Amino acid sequence: MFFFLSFTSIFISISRVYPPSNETLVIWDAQTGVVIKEPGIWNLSHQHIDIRGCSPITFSDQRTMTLHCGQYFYTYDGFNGTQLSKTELPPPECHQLGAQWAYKGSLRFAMRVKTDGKHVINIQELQQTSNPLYSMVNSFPVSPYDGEFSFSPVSSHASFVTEMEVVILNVQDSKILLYTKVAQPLYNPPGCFSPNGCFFACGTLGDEICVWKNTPTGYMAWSTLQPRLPFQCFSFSSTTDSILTWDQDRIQLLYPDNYVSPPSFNKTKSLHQHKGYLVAFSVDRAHIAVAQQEDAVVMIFDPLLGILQQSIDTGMEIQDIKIANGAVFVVDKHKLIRWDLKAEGIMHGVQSARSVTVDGTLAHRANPDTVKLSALSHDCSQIAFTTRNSVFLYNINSQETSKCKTTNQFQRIQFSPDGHQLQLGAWVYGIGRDYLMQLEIVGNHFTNTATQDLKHKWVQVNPQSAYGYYVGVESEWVKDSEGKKLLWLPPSWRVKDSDEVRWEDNLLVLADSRHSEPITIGFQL
Amino acid sequence: MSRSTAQLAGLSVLTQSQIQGSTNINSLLDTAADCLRFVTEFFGVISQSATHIYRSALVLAPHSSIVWRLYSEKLCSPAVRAMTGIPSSWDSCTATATTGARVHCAVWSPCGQFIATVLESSIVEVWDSTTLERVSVLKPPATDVPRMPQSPAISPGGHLVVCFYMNVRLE
Repeated sequence: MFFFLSFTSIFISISRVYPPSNETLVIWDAQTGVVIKEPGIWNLSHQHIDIRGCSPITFSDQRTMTLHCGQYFYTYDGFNGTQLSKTELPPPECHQLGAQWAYKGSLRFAMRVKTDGKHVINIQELQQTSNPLYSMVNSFPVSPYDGEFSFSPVSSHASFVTEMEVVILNVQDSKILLYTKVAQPLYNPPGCFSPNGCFFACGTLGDEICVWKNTPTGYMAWSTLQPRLPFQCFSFSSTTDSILTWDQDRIQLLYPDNYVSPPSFNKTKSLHQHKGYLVAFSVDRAHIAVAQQEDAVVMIFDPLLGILQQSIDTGMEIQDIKIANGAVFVVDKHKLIRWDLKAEGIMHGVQSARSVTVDGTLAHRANPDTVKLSALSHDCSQIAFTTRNSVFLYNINSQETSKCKTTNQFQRIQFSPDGHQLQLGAWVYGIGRDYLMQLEIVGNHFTNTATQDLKHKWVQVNPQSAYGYYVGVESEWVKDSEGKKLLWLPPSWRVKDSDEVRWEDNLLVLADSRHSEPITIGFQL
Repeated sequence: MSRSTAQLAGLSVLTQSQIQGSTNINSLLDTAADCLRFVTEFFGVISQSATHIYRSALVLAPHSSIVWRLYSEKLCSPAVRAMTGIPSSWDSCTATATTGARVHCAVWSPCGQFIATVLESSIVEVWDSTTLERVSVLKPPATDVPRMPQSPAISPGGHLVVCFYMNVRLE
């Protein structure tokens, strides 16, 4: 889907850095991986082909292949690499290629052209002969739609896609089969028809693929596929059974026939935009509270039954959550709220929009507009928060505040497991590493002792199990202390960063924000 | 384990479930589809360790799946238990894989059985399109200059893989 953009960007970068290049065609035996010919034979530089921005290769029969580059079609013998023809595109020059496909040993293509002020879609054929000629198969006048053009040779349907609109029409009678405005912006490239003409699909900036089904009455919304992995490009399989997506070094297969299940947890956000999960356990491990950073929803799970017990919309941009004394505590930059687990979501302290709040305790906090980060102590008796140049420690019960001046803007904050230190982390771009600061806490005050460290990476609380279980970055196995394989992890569950792993005794939480909810796994002791 | 072996494994599961009383043809087809889905989803671990069909694959299978309903009772004392995060049903994603380097582009074979990914490292990888098992790794002949892969394709029948390379020289 991003072919055009990626080719364009490659072209730009190459044209800036590199002198003119030559091209090589390599042909392999697909089963053995053996290169069929030596590369020297395939050097095509003398033919002056600029393959940058070329279309994919189309085989018009078992051995004849054609690609479209710039103003030309190039045809080769796929067995011996001989160039069979080089054919200039027919006029006019103002055109947009919507598709090319094999048709009875020849190559056909659909182009949107503008001639004498009129827009038409021409279906033309290129005979694969030593002296190739174009012939016009059909020409259909169309309205001057905006957007990227694509064409299905099976259904004779054309699509025009802009950032927020999709138009599909039958070129034979100009009947509009789909006109829709989409909820999320679409990727700029044109979307694509399935090879059998039954579906049309577009990717959205929300990392979804919208699929419409071709029906006798027009195109109807068929499914919204939510891939497990982010993607930049996708394409239908030739049999339309599957969709392949790719991005970075990951590929995935999707079934367009599968209706997506309703999002279970904030799945409408882009996979690229998810922030990390916050996870809190009750002391007896009977409850797990989960929220995404700066999101509003807190979910309470029963880990033994594996069920969602409560889902609470706090209306806050959550900074931290904890469970203590049978209650869930949630803090953002402005306020603290609490609710008893037994009270099933009856919250306290949410009456005020800005200042405080559990039972009126937070009235003397700093100006909330200046608060950057906040965190709760494990027993929920203290809140630490940062402003531009200070760190504060606020005791919820005594309402005492301790303050420490800093010079750094921190991005992370947490209490150490024993609660005796406040840890702050910042990524320092100038030196390309984490800057860590640790403030000692005695009672309700910071001491004057601050430890500062430029060497170590930020480590989340409880990255390892007390029982020696561990899971490494990119590892496909969770292992015990002796290296025994305990559990295989599917590719989409594998840990990208050690921050995504939390252990609580024998419980493992994989808090990768790409998951629709954190994965909790219990290991038998 | 090859793709055909994976299908056999799915068939084996199906045969057992058939023995267990599935007589309705639609039910049988559903079971077959579910077994194939199970094998495809957990091909990575099934191909390494048979015991992890129970220790890992079944533990991670959606609880609404037919395979889980048929065999979960055999997990009487599981060493591992998934508590949250297990999808309630199979999702639309059937397989994922990690390529050897950043993917430049990808194409399907005309028969639909194979996928070719062209990597920015110039290597072409061919994948089975059901399991995303890597079938072969195709390396272009070594050259002295960097290469930029473009326009890959698989021939009809899947016998040939072709790719253009742009040989670029630093100034």
